[in-house]
Amino acid sequence: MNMFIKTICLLCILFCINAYCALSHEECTTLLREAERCFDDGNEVAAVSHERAVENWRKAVARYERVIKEGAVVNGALFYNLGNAYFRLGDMGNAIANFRRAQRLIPRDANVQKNLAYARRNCQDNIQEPESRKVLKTLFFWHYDFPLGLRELLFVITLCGACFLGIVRLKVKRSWLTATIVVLFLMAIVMATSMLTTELSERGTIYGVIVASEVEGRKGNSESYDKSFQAPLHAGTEFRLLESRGNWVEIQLADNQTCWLPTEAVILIQ
Amino acid sequence: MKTLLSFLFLTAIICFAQEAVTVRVAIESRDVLVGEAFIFQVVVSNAKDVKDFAFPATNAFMVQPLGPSNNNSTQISIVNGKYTKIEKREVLYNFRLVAKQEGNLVIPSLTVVADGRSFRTQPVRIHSSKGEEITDIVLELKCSSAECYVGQTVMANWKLYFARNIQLSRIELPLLENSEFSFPPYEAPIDNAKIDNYRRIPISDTDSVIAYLSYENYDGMQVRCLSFSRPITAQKAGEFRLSAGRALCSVPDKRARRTRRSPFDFFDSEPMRSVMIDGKSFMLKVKELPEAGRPANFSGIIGACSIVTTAKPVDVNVGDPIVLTIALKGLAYPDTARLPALTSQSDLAKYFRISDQDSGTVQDGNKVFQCTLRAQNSDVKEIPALSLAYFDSPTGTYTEAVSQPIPITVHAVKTVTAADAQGTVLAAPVVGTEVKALDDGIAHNYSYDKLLHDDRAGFFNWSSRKWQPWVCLGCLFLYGVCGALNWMVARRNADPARLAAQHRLSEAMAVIQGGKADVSDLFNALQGVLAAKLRLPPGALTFHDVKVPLEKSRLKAEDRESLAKLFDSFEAASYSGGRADATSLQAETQRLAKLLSRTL
Repeated sequence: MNMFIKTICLLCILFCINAYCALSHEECTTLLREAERCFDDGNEVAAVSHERAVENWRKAVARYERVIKEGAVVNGALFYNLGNAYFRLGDMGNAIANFRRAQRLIPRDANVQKNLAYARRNCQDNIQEPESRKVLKTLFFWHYDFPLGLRELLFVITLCGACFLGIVRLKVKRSWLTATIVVLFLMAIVMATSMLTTELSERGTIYGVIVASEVEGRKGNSESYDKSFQAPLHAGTEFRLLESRGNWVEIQLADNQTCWLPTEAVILIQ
Repeated sequence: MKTLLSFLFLTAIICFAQEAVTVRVAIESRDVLVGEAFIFQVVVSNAKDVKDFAFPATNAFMVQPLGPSNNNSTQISIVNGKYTKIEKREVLYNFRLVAKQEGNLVIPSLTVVADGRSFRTQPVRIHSSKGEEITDIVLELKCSSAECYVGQTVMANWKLYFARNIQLSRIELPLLENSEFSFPPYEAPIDNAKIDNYRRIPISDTDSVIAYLSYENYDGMQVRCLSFSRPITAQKAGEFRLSAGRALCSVPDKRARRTRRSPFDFFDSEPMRSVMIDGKSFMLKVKELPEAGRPANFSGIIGACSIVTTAKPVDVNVGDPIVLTIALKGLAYPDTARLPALTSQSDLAKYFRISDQDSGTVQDGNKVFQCTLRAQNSDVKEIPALSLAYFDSPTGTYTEAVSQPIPITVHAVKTVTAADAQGTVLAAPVVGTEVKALDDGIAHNYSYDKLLHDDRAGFFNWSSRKWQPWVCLGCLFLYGVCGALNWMVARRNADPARLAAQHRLSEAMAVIQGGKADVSDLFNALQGVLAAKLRLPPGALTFHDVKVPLEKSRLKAEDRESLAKLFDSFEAASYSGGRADATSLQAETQRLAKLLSRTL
């Protein structure tokens, strides 16, 4: 009984701490304003003093991170700003990781695409994506190019349109009306399938980025294993997580090669 | 009984004799000539496991082991239903012996271990006499060059001159087992016009050579000559005495006393004897390739060489295949020549994509290679000259053979891009100074007021979404409601009799519930309820009319009985002129009407 009461008390305390730590909308706004000012200040003084600029960018990073973690804000532009700040600091791994997070939320944003491409160009490792995936991206453009929000909107519109026209068709029997309803319903199914595929794959698949400036890929989860590649991998190299075992993760690169890396050398895009 | 015992005794002796291991020797002849080859055979019978043994060292004979062979046979006979099986199992060890000296010689005793037991053969005495000296059969080896370099292939030519009739059994070539040389595969050219002059001569149990029979002048005499060649490549430097090997042949035996004519020899064949002819060796000097001046792209070709290239077609589009044929000419031995990878030709690799070249074929004494080139752009005007570094053995220097460049015409083609695949129309060229964007650098940050709205979407986040789920559910609900209403209306309209029956039922129920009706009205109303519920034609109904449908319904038996009594009461009242008290029937009529409207 005592144990039960203790557990309940502990849970209450944790809930209170959590409630206390969660940032309000105003606090988030204040932090974001500060982060923006720090980032701009860093840009201003970069030409004069690199150290001061780095200090300001670090402050901006800390504030953005706090809003994300404590404010529970999931916003593509916020991840994009954080990626920019990391990029200024020369942390290519974290920059790409946050650009990738932003890309998931706002994939059609031109600035996100541009900055992600530029950050990737600055990476040392050049790992080509297989050609088949490029073909898939062209064939199923809506799945790869449309953001999840747009697909959701299209799903709602097509489903509601199909329902509305279906109500009309209860009284007005026309063949074109039936065809339109079928088309709208199929579009709704396609959008729903695409959304579900994206969400399930994101749930089932974890991507990540190497943040260590240089790390050796191993053939097993220990330093005692042989190297997987002739040269070490560098910060910014993206991968797909295959397995996590202790302090090691097994990853698959874009060209389908696999290796094991220590967890401190990578960041996972959850 | 005696006969049976004798038979069993004999059978036991035969079985015992069959199973006993015996070792015996056999010899082709006990009277031989010096230099004459003869076969000495050790026969091991009925042994399951015989260990290999060596011929003891002896100065009297030249010994060549010919290896063991098996001689197994099974004889089965069935006579008058009696089954007899005789197995014979022998291992034969043959040795070719050549007497090296004259006089009485002894072939020493050999020790054979069979089935774990040791057997010794009897020593064999033979007599060797000095025969005629054979000078008219000569085996000779000469190479195409007395000097060569490591890695250079020279042709070893064997010639067997003979001025008498011989039967050539085989020529043994120990040179081919020399590890200091390699022996590239070689197929001698055959002149079909002189096909009768070719002879196949065994050089081992599995290998043979094709020799050409001709007449040649040897030592001032016109003699017959069998000649054949094999390429050899020296693997290391030094001076080597190349053994020509031995020729084993049979020559006519002129010794009359050895002539044992068979009474069945109808063809009067000439007696022959085997002789072994030792060949003359050849001195070959092999030199190391000089390190000084060796180019990095040295092809490994040694000897004279020139390179000639041809291409087809020479008028192509960008990316079209051009078949490039490269011929290495002037090679002494083209089979082993290899062409270095063409990707090492910098000029060629710069302008062309190069496929893997083939391993080459020998055509008209030249080594010919083919590969496919694809021009990378329309600026390519020629297939550049190919260079091949080789070692010129006559001059002893490294030299470079260079081919002639081949002029070609390459037309530009449109490259299909992803934009073409997607059907994107490219904008027309802009007149004036084009403003080119720079790809370097990152874009600006977003303002803080755009960073707080929730960008999450998808079904898994619908719990936190504001309107999307409600709109979808609302539409589906609305469609469901409308659909249901439509279905109900359609169902109602589909059955007018049912609608009329419902009307009648409601009117009848209103009369019954009203409480002001007389007995006749109540009876009519009850009949109306039953007619509406049972979908019977309206009018005067008796209980008999509704009895069968009511029995099929869920109405209980006591209720049916009550209804029958009520019908009787109403009928009695009507026969009495309607004077019965309506209030006494009202309650029962109301109860049963409600029950009927619910149950039916």
